[in-house]
Amino acid sequence: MNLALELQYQEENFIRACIQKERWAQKQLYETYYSKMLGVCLRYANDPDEAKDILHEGFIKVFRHLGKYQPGTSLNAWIKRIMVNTCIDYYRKMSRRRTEDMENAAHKISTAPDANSICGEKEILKAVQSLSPAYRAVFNLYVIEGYSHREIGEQLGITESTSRSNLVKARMKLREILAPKYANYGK
Amino acid sequence: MENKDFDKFIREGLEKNRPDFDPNDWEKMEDLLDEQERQGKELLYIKGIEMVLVALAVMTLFRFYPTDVATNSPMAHIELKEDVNIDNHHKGIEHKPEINHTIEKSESLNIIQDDSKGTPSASHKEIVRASDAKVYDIIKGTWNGEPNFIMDEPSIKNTFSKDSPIKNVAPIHSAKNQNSTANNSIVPEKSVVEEKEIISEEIQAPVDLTALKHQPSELLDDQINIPKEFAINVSRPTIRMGFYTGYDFNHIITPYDPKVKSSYEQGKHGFSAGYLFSILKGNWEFESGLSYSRKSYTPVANVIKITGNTDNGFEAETLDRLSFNLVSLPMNVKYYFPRMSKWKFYAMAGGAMNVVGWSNVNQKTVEANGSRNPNLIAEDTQAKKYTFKKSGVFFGESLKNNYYITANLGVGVERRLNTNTSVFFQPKFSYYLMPSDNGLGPNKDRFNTMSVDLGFKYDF
Repeated sequence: MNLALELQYQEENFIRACIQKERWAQKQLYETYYSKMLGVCLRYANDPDEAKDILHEGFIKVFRHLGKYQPGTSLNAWIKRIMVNTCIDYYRKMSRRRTEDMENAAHKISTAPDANSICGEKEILKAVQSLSPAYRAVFNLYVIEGYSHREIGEQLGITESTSRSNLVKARMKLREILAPKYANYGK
Repeated sequence: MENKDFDKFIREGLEKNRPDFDPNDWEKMEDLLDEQERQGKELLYIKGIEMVLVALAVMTLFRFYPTDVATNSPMAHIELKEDVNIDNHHKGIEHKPEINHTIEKSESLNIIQDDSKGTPSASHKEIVRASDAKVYDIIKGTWNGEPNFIMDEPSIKNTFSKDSPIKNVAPIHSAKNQNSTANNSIVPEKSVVEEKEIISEEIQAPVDLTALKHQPSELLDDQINIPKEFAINVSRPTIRMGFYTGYDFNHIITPYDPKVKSSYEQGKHGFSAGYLFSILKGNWEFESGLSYSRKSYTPVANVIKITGNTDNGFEAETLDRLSFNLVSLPMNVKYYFPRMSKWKFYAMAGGAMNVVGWSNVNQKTVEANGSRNPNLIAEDTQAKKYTFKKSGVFFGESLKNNYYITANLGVGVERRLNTNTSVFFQPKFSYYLMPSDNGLGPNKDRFNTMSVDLGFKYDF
């Protein structure tokens, strides 16, 4: 049998087991995509606890709608899409709860890494997390997920110009924090 | 160009960040999945009941909708063509009331007089109706303008039996079997048969007519004296009043926001009680009244306002507990299925206007320092301040934000205790209909309620 077909057959069986709420299959799926998806959620969340809440909410959606996934396409991309949508939902839920003051938090962050410290992946993540939710959401959707400003506006319920403005401010803030690291980038 | 490089730098940094798997997280995930499954089963149960009730309502509609175009009523009335007469023992009775036998079933019991033997006997007749195959165990009759009566077959057999204590019953018997004269008859001089009759069998159920010989005056006064406990007045509406109390299971949906496309849902217990007023005519009853119900719960969506930020600490106003005291005006229509002895089953459909008489909104202000999940602040922070707010139409608030309308569907069983009093048991489902853009309380909550009511009714 063709290797690709065999893999697809295995994936189908595995997904069927997940749909039938077989706990071993659900655990395997969770373990397989845990790291990658938690990485996605961390970009949108304020902290690891919040990221895990989003991750769990996302996985519940994944298990609930797994029947809609078409085997043969990318399961990784499908799950990631759900995770990003869950992050957007979470952002909107928080916005709806009148967390208007959070936007100002970008100017008084206490957890921002020291500019003189050695920057690694964790520092970049911390810098992104230190952005206000509004800047962070726009930055992630534009830079990481590749959404257009129009799409971002529709997703977050803001105008295109607000999206552009937030992106510029987010970049400026990140440049400020990550200047030493970025200076050595590519050298 | 510079922006692109910077974006690439960030993207690479973020994509390299892959936290290690934490087995504790899977345990949390498993708990959440278990909880989801449990909630899913509860919702499935509610939806199942909902579907059964709708199916019952539809079946009721189709089952009892008139199919015979020749009749105006769902229950086809058949008049007996056969001339009937009364026993010679009633000579001297000048009163000639009209008997209008209305038979609503394919089987009926008729009493005939066998003159050759000098003793009456009961005949089991079968009336075939091609247009209506329904079988009702009920016989209807009228007597000289007196109210109509419904009797079920066992009751008739019992009444007409030899051992029955009821002696002043006028049997109806065939004119073919006796020599009758017009002036001593108390039955109609003529009647009409529209349907074919088949005498299928003759059963031995002797009737003691000697009592009639000795009590002609009583017969004159009472005519057909069907015991009250076997009879229901169907021609005149019956006014009924009653009280009930019930257990409610409230399915609370909060908040519903079309933009977010998500809502919190939870199930909470409650109770209700009320006064009922109804008008019963035939098998149909229109019911209204006034009821009170209480819905008290801790909202899932509990954060109202956050000031500060999650990094440096914040203060949050949260909802601690909501209690709604509702006054409802129900308007339901009930259909009683042909009854079996003293038990009656019915299906019910209608609606109710529900108004918040008064509500208690308990708020809690909490304070958190450092980075926290705002969703968890009610659980893991200390309360700073409690506030209690009363609202509702009894506190001068507008009706607009304090009402909702539900559609009601239910089934029930009623047991007659004596001539006037009956008790009932009634599962009922109330589905939130409107207003579609609003709800109750700070979260605009909506309620679907599954109730189990127990009460009594008194017929006037």
